[in-house]
Amino acid sequence: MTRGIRAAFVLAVLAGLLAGCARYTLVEPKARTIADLYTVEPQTRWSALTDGKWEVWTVDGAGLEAIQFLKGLEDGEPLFRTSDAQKRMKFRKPMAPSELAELLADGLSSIGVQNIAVTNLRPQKFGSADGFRCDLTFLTKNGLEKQGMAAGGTMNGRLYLVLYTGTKLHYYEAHRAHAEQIIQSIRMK
Amino acid sequence: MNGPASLLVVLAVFAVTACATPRGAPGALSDVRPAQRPTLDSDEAGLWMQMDRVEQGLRTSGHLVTDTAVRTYLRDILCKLATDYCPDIRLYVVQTPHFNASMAPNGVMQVWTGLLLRADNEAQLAYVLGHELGHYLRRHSVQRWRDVRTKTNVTAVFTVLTAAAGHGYIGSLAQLVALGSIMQFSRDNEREADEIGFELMVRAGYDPREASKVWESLDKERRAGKDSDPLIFFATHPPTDERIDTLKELARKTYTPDRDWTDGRQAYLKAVRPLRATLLRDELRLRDFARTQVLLARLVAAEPASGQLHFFQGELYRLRNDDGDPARALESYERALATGGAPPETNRAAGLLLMRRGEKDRARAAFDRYLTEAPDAEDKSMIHAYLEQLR
Repeated sequence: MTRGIRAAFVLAVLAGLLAGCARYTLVEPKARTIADLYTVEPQTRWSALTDGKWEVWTVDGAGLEAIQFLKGLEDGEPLFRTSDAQKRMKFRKPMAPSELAELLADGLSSIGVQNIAVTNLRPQKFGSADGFRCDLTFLTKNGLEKQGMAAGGTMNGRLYLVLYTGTKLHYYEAHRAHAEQIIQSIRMK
Repeated sequence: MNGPASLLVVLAVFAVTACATPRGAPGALSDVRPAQRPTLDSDEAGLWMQMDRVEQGLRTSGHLVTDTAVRTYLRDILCKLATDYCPDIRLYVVQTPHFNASMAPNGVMQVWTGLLLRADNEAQLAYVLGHELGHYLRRHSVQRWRDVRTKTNVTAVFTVLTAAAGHGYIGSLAQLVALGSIMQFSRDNEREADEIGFELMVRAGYDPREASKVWESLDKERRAGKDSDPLIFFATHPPTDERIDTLKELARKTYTPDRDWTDGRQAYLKAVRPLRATLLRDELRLRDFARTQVLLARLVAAEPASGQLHFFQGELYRLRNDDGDPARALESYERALATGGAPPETNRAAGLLLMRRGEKDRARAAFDRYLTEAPDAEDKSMIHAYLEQLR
């Protein structure tokens, strides 16, 4: 799992212990608005957590699988707020999908992911807007093999992404169909 | 002289001439013998046990390079140097873009791909492997372990070792640096390993003048880099003027033009070239552009006719994207294409830059060339979409 998200989960647990409640919220299988821009309609229950510009949903735990929604990255922002964000690729409005896929790979690299391969980059609508899809394989910093798929697009000058990742062994496939259905359900508000 | 005898003689010579710790002095350790394992009730056995756990994690790590050719190549160099100690050493090639090689007391040697990318030739690789063998043969880890144990909190040391073991040894860089600081050898140990490494490479017939060049190249990169990502090897192997001067002096005394020395450049290129595009992509992901620029300049100077290297220079400029970089990137891509041997991605990268600049005709031509050279490219449908936009 990503450094930022794992840190968020640790913080969430600590906050939960202190406050007597967790920051997780239940995502019911019904239409839900993301970033006030579009809706998705999950067919199963997920647990959700917000980490800055990312909303993270998981079933079995974010270290095993997660679908993450980037809620509008502004021009000049890096994908993740890491300690080395200054030297990382920044999102630029005119970026072509090939460059956005590079931005995704670079962002993942900034949180410790290694041996990233982006494959099958292709144009695909993000809701009704122009967008792209791609597939990913990578290793976590501890060497665990993971797979992923991403959908994204630039709308109103901001980058929106949906990233589904899971362990190559079992978890990616276990929830891939649900994640795909969520991506297909994207409708602009 | 060759085979086991030669290595034992090397050790014997150092035992009486070059050791920082006199053999037989109180607390001094004898050299490790072939197939030797520590007795079970010793502290050294405890250290080995920890390292065996580390090795278990390493063995199943997804970071290991699986390319058989390069692993066999490195193993052959290692065995040429280690002679009858060869069966005691397990060599792991780890895909990580930092320059590093390390040797654990139980015989685990790691070579990181950042080293493969940076060595100029086989002689330089042999010197680094020989240096690490020197630590193993002289049991420097055990010396260091005993030294640290008397000075610091033993529990803390074991905690770091165990944490490293739990994370397959190649977990986070922070863990590695922490481990390195504990397992860091003394300057005397380093000096001794340098001399053993030098002697081993010489006995294997490698050009002795190559040893000091390893440190000189690294030092240039270190000076250029921002050091935000530490070159881990520096933490434990500072490229000081002293060690460079010492190795140069040793080479001056050793090198004779009448002997048939080899730098093994061609064998090195044959083994490493198939991996080089992957290694350079990994290197660029570190985004330490100043350091990578020094590295690429050195590689290009050695192979000015490599379209692949000019392409990666272009990639550096494109990704850095400072003022004037897009134009520099395009120049590099054009040079790569003119030189020959450039990967198909050169045309795609040029097409993206030209599309951004609004040069539709040139962008279209570049994308067309890309699809001609790579008709089954993973991103071909995306490129077709760009071509549609450019109509």
